[in-house]
Amino acid sequence: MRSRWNRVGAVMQKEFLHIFRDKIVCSIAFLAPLAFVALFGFLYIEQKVTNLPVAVYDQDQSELSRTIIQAFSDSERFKITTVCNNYREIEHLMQSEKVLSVIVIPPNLQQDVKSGKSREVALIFNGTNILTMNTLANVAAQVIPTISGGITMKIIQGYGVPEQKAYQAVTALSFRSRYWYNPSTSYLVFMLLGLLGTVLQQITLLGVALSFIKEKESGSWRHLAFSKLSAFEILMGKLSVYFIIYCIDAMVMFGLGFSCFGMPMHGSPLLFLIVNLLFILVMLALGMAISIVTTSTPQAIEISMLIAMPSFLISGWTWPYLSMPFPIQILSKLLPLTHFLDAIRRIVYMGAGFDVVWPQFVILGIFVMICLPLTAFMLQRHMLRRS
Amino acid sequence: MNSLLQAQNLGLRGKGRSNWLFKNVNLTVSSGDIVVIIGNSGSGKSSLGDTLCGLKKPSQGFVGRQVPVAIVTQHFTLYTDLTVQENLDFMAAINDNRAENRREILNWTGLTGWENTKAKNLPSSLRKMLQIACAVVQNTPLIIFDEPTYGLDQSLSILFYRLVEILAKQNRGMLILTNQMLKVAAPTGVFELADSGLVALSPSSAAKENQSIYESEGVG
Repeated sequence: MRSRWNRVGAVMQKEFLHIFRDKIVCSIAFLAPLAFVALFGFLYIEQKVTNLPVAVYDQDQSELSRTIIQAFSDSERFKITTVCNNYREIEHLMQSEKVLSVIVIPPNLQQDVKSGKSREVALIFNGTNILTMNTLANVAAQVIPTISGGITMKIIQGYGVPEQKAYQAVTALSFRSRYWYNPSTSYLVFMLLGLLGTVLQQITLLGVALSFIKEKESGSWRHLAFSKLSAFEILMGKLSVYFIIYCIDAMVMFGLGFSCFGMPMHGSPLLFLIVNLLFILVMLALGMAISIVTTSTPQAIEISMLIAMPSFLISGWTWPYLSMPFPIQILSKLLPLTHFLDAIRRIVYMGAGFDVVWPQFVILGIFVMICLPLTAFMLQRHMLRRS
Repeated sequence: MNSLLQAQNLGLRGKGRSNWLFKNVNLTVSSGDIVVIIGNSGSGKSSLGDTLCGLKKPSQGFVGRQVPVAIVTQHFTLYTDLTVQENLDFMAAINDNRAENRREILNWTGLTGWENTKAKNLPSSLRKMLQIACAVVQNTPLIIFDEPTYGLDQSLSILFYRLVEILAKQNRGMLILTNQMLKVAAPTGVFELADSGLVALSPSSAAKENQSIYESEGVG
């Protein structure tokens, strides 16, 4: 028993030496997490998109049209940059992306509205970028009722209704939205946590996949296969080193996210830590499995990229799970990342307790129970075949 | 003498499965034996070595190995980023060997003074000696050498021959695959790997008596 731990210790020591002596592996393990958290943190540091360039095409040039334009330019999200005079100009501005939206005010608007005719103001959005379009449309949706309410009030007043009564009529029923868990609808809060989870997946998978493939490429694998080491001991030795490193990575990355980039933490840090440990274990087992089935470093990198690249998109972080077709829903549920991100979003942002996130814990636990023994079994078989 | 490794009617086909890399190989290595198999490059020596230690599955015949084996591969297969000492320590540790005789092994292989050099910075001949040292430090009853003297200069070759004698005295069995005649004193058997199987160059029973002839026939 004691010699078993001696052997595991020897593998651990050797693995540490490999990591610290290889500049690339060392930087994947220690610098990449810092670089990514800084990159994404600063990317979303503004938290929301502001000053989106907007053009106006004012064909009315009246008091009313100026009121409308003023109401839009009061919003910090909008910035009216250009005034244009015909549709060809609008098209040019849109295609060159000098503006992302155009407010088109029809001729004779003020006159028609005063005489009780119903008129429309057109808001044109560039739909190729959903993110900026949604922002603009949301702001427009907040600005427009105020403007049209003001105008309606004036019209009612024109019928001889006192100002106070007219105001009551206009404001009789209103809707208010409350954004729970992200009251300022910060884009940083939306994206950063999910991206960091995905980075954790990527570096874990890649680091371990490389660790074992090197032994195969250099041939040192033969000596392991002929030694007294069992598959379990090799796994223990290698994985425990990477487990320690990636736990530190996870703590550093998320810690920086919480402390420097204003990600809120509403839930239990302990739950958050445990779900991280579970996820890292699953990814380590998967990375090792990739390393066993592949034959060269480029192949191992390709396969781990192939898994990591689409996983964020189908994890349900940016596109709702319910809107996925059934086969992709299955794929999504088969990815450990999906369950990990579900759990951390609920714990970190929504303050959910174990009573809410236990299914994710159970699923990740099952992944660990399947992946680790399966990887050990694959390694065992590989050791017996030895070539 | 107890037998460590037996091969009966062993054969391996090439990847195309048409031609035989080797066939009809019958061989026994017992403790204290020094068995030398000579073959030209491409004659299937390395494949025979891989099959004998279990890295390759034979297409015909049977290999029996009762004891752990250490291998010295033709190409460097240890850790280039670890030092001589670290490589030795690791190989000893994963084979449950305390290796109290590590100083001795370094002396035997000419590596004294190079302990803290990383393997990638060693001269290539010493890299070969490091492989040999790492095989010895595992303390296995059986060692298979694939081209152990390839790339060694004369003084290191002499060190190697001396080491083989020491190991034989320790009752370890050795199988040496090579493409040149070796100046090993008292080989138990010397065979040539031919198309029809192993051909004894000097019968194992008469090995000691024929040693001088064998040497004069061999390397000048």
